[in-house]
This record gives sequence, structure tokens and C-alpha cells, in this order.
Amino acid sequence: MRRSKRATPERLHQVFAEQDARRHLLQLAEGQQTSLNPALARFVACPDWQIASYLLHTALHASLSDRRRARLAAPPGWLHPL
Amino acid sequence: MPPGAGLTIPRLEFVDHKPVPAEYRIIQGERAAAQLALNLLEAGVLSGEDWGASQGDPLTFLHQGLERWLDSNGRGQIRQQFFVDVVLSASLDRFSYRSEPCEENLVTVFLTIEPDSAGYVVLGPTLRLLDQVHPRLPATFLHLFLGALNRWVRAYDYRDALDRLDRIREWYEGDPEAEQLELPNVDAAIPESARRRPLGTRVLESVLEGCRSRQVKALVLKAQELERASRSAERPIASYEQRESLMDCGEPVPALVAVFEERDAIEGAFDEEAQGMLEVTPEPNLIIPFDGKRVANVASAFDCLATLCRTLTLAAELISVMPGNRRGGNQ
Repeated sequence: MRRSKRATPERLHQVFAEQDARRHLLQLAEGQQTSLNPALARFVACPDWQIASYLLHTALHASLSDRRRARLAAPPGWLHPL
Repeated sequence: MPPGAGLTIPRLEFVDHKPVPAEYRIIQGERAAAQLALNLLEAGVLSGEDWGASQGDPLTFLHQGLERWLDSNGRGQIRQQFFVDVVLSASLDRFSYRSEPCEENLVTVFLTIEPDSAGYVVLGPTLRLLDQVHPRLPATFLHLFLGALNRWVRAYDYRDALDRLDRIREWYEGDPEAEQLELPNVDAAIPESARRRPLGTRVLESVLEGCRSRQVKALVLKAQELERASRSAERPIASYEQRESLMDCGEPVPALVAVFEERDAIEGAFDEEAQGMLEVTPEPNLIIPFDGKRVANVASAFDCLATLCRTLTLAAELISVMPGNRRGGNQ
């Protein structure tokens, strides 16, 4: 009598995890995930955007690290910019 | 549920009303890492179950997968006696950032073995025990134990200490102050039993058959098992170009220091030599080059690494049962 090999839930989970990993890695290896994402693709192609992001990141970092800085009162006669 | 009376939190949306993701991520060398991870997965080195925990990052996947692989290849036992790192890299130069990993780099990927510091084994008590059974048994044991280890990693033993002495004598040749130089007596530290000729396989079998001591039998059988494991794969040979890229490196750091007695002349020679060992980047103990784009090549590289792991596991087990050595590692 032939005995069929039964797939246990653990084995199925393993197979699905393997297939999932393979599919995602293949997409990453072919660069599809970046090229399929319009925002990422534009970011990679645009040096101005990259520089702007870097400046923003640096500014945010600087503002966070300077929290203990004391604010000076505005000099007399100073007007708010309109 | 109907909207409440408060203000709604603004949310960025695409024109098709799908929310804009809060995070975008670009990883340097992601494509190459994904290709390598894919081939490691195909070769059965990595498991798909680690993918979920890696959050879609192939580098994390590689790292976690290799940690799991090392755990299942005796890392726990090896760490009790040896302190070695396994490095997976597209370059032999650990401090090179000349180019980011790319697909072309995957043609030559390296697995290297680099000791963090040297393990330590005291051989004297074991040799004395074996000498009681047969005068040539200590030399046979030494031959099996050190030979098996030296095939894969650098084990510093009495021969290295003698080499160092020869080098020092050469340096001081013709120097008028050479006579005042005090050199350690390495020769006196080597027991007579270690200088004898090792037994052949047949004679060794007959000696073991007639041996009544379980401890001696266990030690020699373990050493034989270690020797077989060590010989079960060929040590890979680095190409001329790869050797050339290591020209500026120093000698490999030993993975093990084998002395006859604690604080003997061999240990002294090693301590002296160790002071200059890290002045330049040392060569790795073992280099396993492989083509990261070929699954068969990846599989054979990891088979080779598995042989090394098996050898180190058996050596660690043997050291922990050798008299005069502590279980769980020597200081």
C-alpha cells in the first residue's frame, strides 16, 4: 500500500515562509522594489532631493541636540518679519 | 462610526486615497545582499523562517540566518575553548570601503575565520597519562591533536616557540652583546615523550585493544575522531591575487596556544610574541573564497565551514576532558 506524505501545519508554514522569502529576495535582487515604488525611484534619480533630505535631517538633528540652548530676548525695535 | 466633533488628524494620501507610507528605506548594497541571500537560501544555509523577523532587510536576513547556522553547527561548544569570528565579506580587507557591494563583487565572496584571542590547552598531564600505557602514545596523541587543528587554524605550539628562538639567534648573529642575551630554554620545556615517533595506525589499534584505562582509550579515540573530521574536507587554497592583497598583513593570530605546563617557556615565548602580533592587521586563519552567484559553490563553501566547525567542536570537547584543563574553557 502506498502511503502519501502528509503535510503537517509546521511543514506548510515552513514551505510558505520559504516561498515568501524567495519571492521578496528575487524582487530585491532585480531592483524591482525600488523601481516599482515611484517615490523611491524618484528619490534615487534626484540628487537635489537627496541633498534636501540630508539638510533636513541635519537640521532636525541639530535642533534636537540644542534643546538646552537659552533663548535671547529680541533687541528693542526689532520687528517680526511679515 | 460617524465622525466626532473634534478635529481629524490630517493624513497624507496618494491620489487613489491610499495612505503614504510613513517610512521609505534604501539600503546600500541591497541588491547584492538580496542575491547572495537568495543563493544561501537555495543552498539550504538560510531558512525562509528568518525572513519575517528581518523586516524585509536582506542584510538582517543574512545576519540572522548565519547566526542560526552557526548555532546549529556547534557554536556553543566551540566557544567554550575557542574565540573565533566568522566573517562573510566581499573583500578580504576588513577596513576597505572603496566600493559598495554590487552584483559583480559577488563573483568572489569570502568566508574568513579570525580569532578574537587565542584559546589555551595544557598538554603535559595528558602526555604523562598516555606515557604510562605506551611510550609512543603521547607523540601519537600530539600528532593527531595538533595536526588536525593546524590543518584549519593556527595552533601555537613548541615548534613555533623553537622557530622564534631561531629567529632571535639569527638577528643577534655577529652582535658582540649576543653572549649576554638570555633566551628561554624551550628545549627543556619539551617532554621526552613528545619527541618520539608517533605510532602507525595498526600498532595504535593493537595498543588500544590491550589498554585497560578507559580514560586513555577515550582520549585517543576522541583524537582519532578529531583527525578524521579534520581530514573530511580539503582546506581551500586562496588564489595568488587574494594572497597578494594580504601582503601587508601580519601572521595569523593563533586560535589556540598549546603548552606542556602552565607558565612554561612555550607560554613565555607566546606572550613575548603576542605583544607585537596586532601591530599590523593579522591575516585570517582560514579563507574560504566562493562564487556567491552559484548555488553549488555557496553550498560547498558552507560544507567546508561545517568541517571546520566540526573540527573545532571535537577539539573543544577533547580539551575539556584532557586532565589539567578546565571544563568550559581555560583562563
